[in-house]
Amino acid sequence: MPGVLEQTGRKRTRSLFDGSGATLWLLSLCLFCSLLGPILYFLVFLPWPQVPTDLSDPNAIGALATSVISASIATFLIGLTGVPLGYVLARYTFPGKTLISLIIYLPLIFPPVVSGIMLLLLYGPYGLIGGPLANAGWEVDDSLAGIVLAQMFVSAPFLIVAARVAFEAIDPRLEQVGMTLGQSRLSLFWRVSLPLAWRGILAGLILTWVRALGEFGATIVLAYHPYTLPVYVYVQLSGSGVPASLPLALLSLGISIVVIWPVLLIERRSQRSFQILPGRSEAAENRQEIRV
Amino acid sequence: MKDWIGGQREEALGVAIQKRLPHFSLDVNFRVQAGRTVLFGPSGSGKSLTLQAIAGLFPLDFAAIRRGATIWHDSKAGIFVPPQRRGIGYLPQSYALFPHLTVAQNIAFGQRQHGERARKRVAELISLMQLHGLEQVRPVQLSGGQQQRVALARALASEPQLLLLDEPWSALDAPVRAMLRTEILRFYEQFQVPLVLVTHDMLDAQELADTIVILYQGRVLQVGSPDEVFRAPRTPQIADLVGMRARWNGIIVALEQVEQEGLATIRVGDVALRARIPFASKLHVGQVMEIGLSTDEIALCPPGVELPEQLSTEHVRQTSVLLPGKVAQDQARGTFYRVTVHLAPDMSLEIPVPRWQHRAFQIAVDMPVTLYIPCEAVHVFEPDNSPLI
Repeated sequence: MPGVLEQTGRKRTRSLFDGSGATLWLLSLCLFCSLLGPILYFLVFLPWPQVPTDLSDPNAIGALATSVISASIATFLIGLTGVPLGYVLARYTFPGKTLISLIIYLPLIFPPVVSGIMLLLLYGPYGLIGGPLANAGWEVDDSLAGIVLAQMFVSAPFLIVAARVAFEAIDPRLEQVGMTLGQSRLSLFWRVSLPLAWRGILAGLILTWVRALGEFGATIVLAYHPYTLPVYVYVQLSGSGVPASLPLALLSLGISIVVIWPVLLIERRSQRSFQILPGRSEAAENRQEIRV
Repeated sequence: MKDWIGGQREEALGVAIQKRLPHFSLDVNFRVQAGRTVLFGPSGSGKSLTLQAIAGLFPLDFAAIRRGATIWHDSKAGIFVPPQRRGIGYLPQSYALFPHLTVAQNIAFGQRQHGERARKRVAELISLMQLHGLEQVRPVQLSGGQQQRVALARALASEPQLLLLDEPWSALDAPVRAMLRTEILRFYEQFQVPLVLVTHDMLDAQELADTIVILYQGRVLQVGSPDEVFRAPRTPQIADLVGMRARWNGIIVALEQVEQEGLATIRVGDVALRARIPFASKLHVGQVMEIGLSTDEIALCPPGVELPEQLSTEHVRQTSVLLPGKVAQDQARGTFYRVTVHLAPDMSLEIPVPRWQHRAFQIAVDMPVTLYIPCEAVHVFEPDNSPLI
């Protein structure tokens, strides 16, 4: 290899530790370690023998079930409405579009507790919507409905943004051609846009579900009961101290890792699959030229 | 409004559209016989928007679009036929085949029939477009030629009255373009579907068009046959767009009538040229005119070479000139030579010379030559032509 380098008179690859490269690697490593450190130490510190007994506690199982059910309902409702919203934002221009985009991002920026307070004002026992519902016997706060509402509020942006990006990546000319072939907008949404965007949408749905599952701040304000997994972890932490909360924390960590894994795979695959869009990538175009 | 609205020619395509955008305004107005129409212009001239407007895919401020006797869009009468019901085939750049569907599914996409009849129709189109064996293949795996045939088959499946092609080849190499162009011509001969093609490539326009519409900055500058547009551009601006670069100012020194047309002698510096002028009655001796030269109409001969007998008739002698000059530059250009001939101080012409002729005449720098310039090579711009139609 040194011979090759001398021949070309130029270094082709960068060594890990030369010049500015070393600084970049070092800084990257600092952040990565600060992310990995707590997780690693947690796994070492964990009283492993105690984990099975703690997790078979009916309260823990109940909290997990509440979280999974509420997160699934929230994700379903978000998917049902958020995919069309993402499509509208990707395909249409209309006055106030920028403002709407901003509002969609707000739940990501708010402290979750603040979101919880806002939700409580609206859906709480004395709220504009919550009041009449409570009078009719349906209490939103401290119910599964309250949990779902809190989770939807904080996790919807993940899906809306993912769906919008996925739809925007589709060549609009595909739909234009489809229209000249006699197909309605709705038919084209089903037959062209959705099949081409589904990877991105699926990734968004998974992220939404994980975010909803881990939702704590808004939930604890609007619906302390029934316990979701994060709320139960907090209850254990404040009632019985750190050791009692550790196995539950492990459960959370495990679910997150298992669920995030496919998202990474989808993202890698969709990067490849976008190359096949005609007229979009140079690679595809080069292929065309060569094959004629 | 222009007169095309009154015109009832069955096969005509009439387009009058206006659209104001933040940094661009489109105001296009033309009427052509439906055949092979090319919308030609530099990028940013609004030709793609015009095509999308014809398809009904682009919202307009004002529109009157009609195909034959059918009104597609008339904003005054409140008529708008959506793209789904215009009966058009649309081929955008790189064809926009559905990447997640197979060739057969792509072709069947617009089918309204189902079951056995639909399958038969797709099979028919596959055999017509010579796509046998590719039914289950996805578009990525197809060559450029196959992609174009799939796109044509897909359009043909809905029996279009008009085919719209939006720079379908702009991403491809010249040899591939040439092949795909030939296929489009063959397709036209076979199915007789009128087509409108958008391109910025002069070769596309020359090879495909029977009518060229020249667009520039959202306006139509000229509508005409390739011969009209490339030999007789209406204005110097259009001459720039079609590559007529040799342009001089000259004074009319004589005007006469030869066989029902005006023949003018125009003096440029010390050189006299002959030109046929249809609008000669509007001109007078002494008037200064701008002229453009089609250099490929000019023959370069070494001194002493006689013109062939066919070119020595009385008529030809009256309508053409022989000019002495000297070779100033001689550049090989691969398939031909570009020879710069010096005619007078500050006057030279670049003449394309075929390689065989270059070799036969042994053309070299400083060699004295004679230029044979027929009146067909000299185009006089009409002085009061407005820049826009």
